Amino acid sequence: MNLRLGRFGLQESACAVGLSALISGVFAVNVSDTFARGNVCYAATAAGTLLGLLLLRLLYGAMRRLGAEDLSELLLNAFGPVLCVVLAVPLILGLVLAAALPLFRFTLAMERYIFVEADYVPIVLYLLPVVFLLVLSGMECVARMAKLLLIPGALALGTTLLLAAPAFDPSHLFPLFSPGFFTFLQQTGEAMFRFLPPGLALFCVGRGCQRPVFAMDGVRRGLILGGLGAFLLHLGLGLTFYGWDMPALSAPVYCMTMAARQDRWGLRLDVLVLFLWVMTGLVAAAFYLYAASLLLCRMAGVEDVRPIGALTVLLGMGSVLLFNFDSDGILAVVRMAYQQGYLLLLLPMGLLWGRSLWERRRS
Amino acid sequence: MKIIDTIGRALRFDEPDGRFELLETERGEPSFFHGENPGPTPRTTDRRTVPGSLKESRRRLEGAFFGETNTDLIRRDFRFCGSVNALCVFLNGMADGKEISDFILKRAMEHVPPPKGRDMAAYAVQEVFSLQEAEKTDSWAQVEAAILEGRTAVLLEGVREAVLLDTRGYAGRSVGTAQNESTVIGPSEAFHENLRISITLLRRIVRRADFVCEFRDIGSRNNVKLALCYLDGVCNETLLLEVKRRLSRVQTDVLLSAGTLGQRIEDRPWSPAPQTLLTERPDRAAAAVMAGKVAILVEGSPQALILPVTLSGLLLTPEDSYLRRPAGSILRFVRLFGAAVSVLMPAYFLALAYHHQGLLSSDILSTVVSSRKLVFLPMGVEMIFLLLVFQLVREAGVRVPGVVGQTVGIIGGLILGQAAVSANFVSTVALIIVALTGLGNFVIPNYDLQIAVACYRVALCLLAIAGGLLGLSCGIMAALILLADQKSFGVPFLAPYAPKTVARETLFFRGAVRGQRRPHDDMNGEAGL
Repeated sequence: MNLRLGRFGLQESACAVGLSALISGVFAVNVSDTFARGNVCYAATAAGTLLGLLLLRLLYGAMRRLGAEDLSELLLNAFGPVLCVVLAVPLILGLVLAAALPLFRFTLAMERYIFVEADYVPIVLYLLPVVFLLVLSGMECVARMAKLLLIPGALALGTTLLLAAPAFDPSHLFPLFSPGFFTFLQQTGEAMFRFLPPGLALFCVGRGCQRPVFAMDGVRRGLILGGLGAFLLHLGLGLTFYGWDMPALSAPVYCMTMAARQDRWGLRLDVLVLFLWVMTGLVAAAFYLYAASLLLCRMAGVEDVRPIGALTVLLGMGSVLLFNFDSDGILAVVRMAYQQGYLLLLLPMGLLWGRSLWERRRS
Repeated sequence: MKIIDTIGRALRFDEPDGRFELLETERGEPSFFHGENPGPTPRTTDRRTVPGSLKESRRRLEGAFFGETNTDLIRRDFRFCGSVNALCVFLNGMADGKEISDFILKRAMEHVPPPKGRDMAAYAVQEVFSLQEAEKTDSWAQVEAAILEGRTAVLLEGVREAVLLDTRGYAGRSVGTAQNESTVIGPSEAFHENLRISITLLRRIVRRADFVCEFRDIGSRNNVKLALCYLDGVCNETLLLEVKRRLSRVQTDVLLSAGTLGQRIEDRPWSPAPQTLLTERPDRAAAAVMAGKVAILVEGSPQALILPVTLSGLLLTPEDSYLRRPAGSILRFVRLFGAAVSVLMPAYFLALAYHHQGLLSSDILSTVVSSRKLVFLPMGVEMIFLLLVFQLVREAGVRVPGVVGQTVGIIGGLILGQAAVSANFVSTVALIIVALTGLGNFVIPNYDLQIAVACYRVALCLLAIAGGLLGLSCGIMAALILLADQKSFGVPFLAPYAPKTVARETLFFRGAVRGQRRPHDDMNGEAGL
């Protein structure tokens, strides 16, 4: 058996979830659609975090009721060996999608703003070996990397807000909740989708936590921290730009650091901050992809994560490449992934929760 | 079967999940399919006993030590207590001749004959030879090993046991001062080539009854003696078993020192980062032993091999704890800053210069451009060349003895640098960056880590030339992944930060000495509890 799960503690679990939640919460946003419907993303992010946390708590309750230590065991205990595979597919796809979306956004930002003469593909090819190495190194290494990159991640968040602070203008937030409450609910759903994958990924690797209870503790602490960071960044975005200005920006967070462009000690910090975000994003992507690989390994009965991990990385990075193709069909898929992707995750989660309740009633 | 096993190992998908789990024992490791792999072939042991005949003993010794040509082997015939023919054997130069004359030959010749029926070997040990270490043995292999160590073997006619006497007394230097790990404050003694002296230096600091020095022979025919030093009950038992298992697998006729031994028992031979710590300071080794680590002292090596080791352990010096807390913390911060500058600065400069000129302010950019106006080498080549020259000067300074070595450094650093700038061979900016990098490199207290940093530095420079800050970021990530994944004898290399351990002391700030009752343990062992 070579699943490379290893052992990791509460701090590392919380850091992995927190960083992933921050990255997903901010960089997996479909800028053109989300902000076109008004500037309520900051509020939707806060609501989405809480809603995501609630759903993950329900799922953890289902795990406890069915005596499962991780998500694959929960699927198996709840639905048996055949149906569990069917239900695992949307979860795996959801995790791969969660890995690909921020990387797509980062690559786009680098292509548009940093390496203006470079193509999209070579930039992705730089990221590929790192994700590959990290996924194949296993969850223990991913968790340690998350812990290591906590300070750079926090530094990136703080510096982004500090650099943009001179451009903050509260009037940019008005009109509040426009164009209506339904939009807010819809955006909350989308935000919730962005906060579910970190928790699900940790539940997938729950057996590697030093103690079973660490999985939920890690999810709770990480999601609150990551959600808070994402909320602050979205609030910063809302304070910097008008909602109707943002759809034109392919990388709003980077543009935010440029909004009040100033040299600091003879150096421009915006690009450095972007690369701090990229490094954090790589760890988040590896976390999702490892969790997806492990789930796939468990479902397929493969006892070595390397072949499956390589496959999942190729799938994830292939998606990053695919998202950039200028085709109506692909654009529609990307848009659907952003907006309705959470349904992929909600269906198996709902079924698992219902099944666990039914089991409890029956016993 | 061996070929199948080799192919199986290359393609193996069944490696154990946690590498710290002691799935292997000194007997071997679990095989590819099932059962237990017997491991390396055990040493062929000489099971012969001591013959009762002196003639046969002499024949064996001359065969084993090539007595006809090997004049070092001294064979002295005498009459033991005036009644029994005896043979005294030792290696000239390895044994102390005065001790042999005064306490073996003189005593044996002057002593009265033993009562009849008395065990002669026991009588010799208990009543005749007045040396502090004396034992009798019937194993012929032990007799040969003892002679090689510098002990003296006394063989008696008609007795099937030999008496081994500790007469080791070869020439050696006195205890010196630490040359490579010098500190301003604190002790300056260094380990010695003589194993006994090194252990004594350690024992003088670790004055505990549970301090164990376990002697082992390693190698194949060379039989190098080493001492495994640890605190029994404090050192993690799994760690100790793992160290012993790895030592038992070392079978070589190549000369073994502490440095080569470390390479033979480490986890990843290809990793640039060191996985064991070689120290010449007894106080550093003692601190490690007190923290639950294992120190290995090898006969003939004036260093101790400390394991396991972590990055924070490699970046700290004993001086940190000798200084007061604020001063110690500042020193640590400066050292970490220097290390970061040493790894990142050239690559960062190249990334900016090649791909992100817009990140530099116009003042800095114009300075860089004007300094490079007449330089004909491309910037990347110039930087790599200067880094190479720096290593060259440093290596020359180390190899040339004493004051001349310092002169080489000054000539290399000042005159060569100035001449290179004047000849438009390199730019002043690149020279300044390499000089800062070199200074940063020298504040890293561990020589192995300095070399590892140089490897990472060059790799990052190449990535920065190719991909700018993206290449640099990916390179940093790859390096961090390799470090995060690395373990030294089961202990994560980046502990106690990632993963967190019970050790409270951070890497950046030194902990308080006042109120500290236990050592800082970054292995979650018994020492910190």
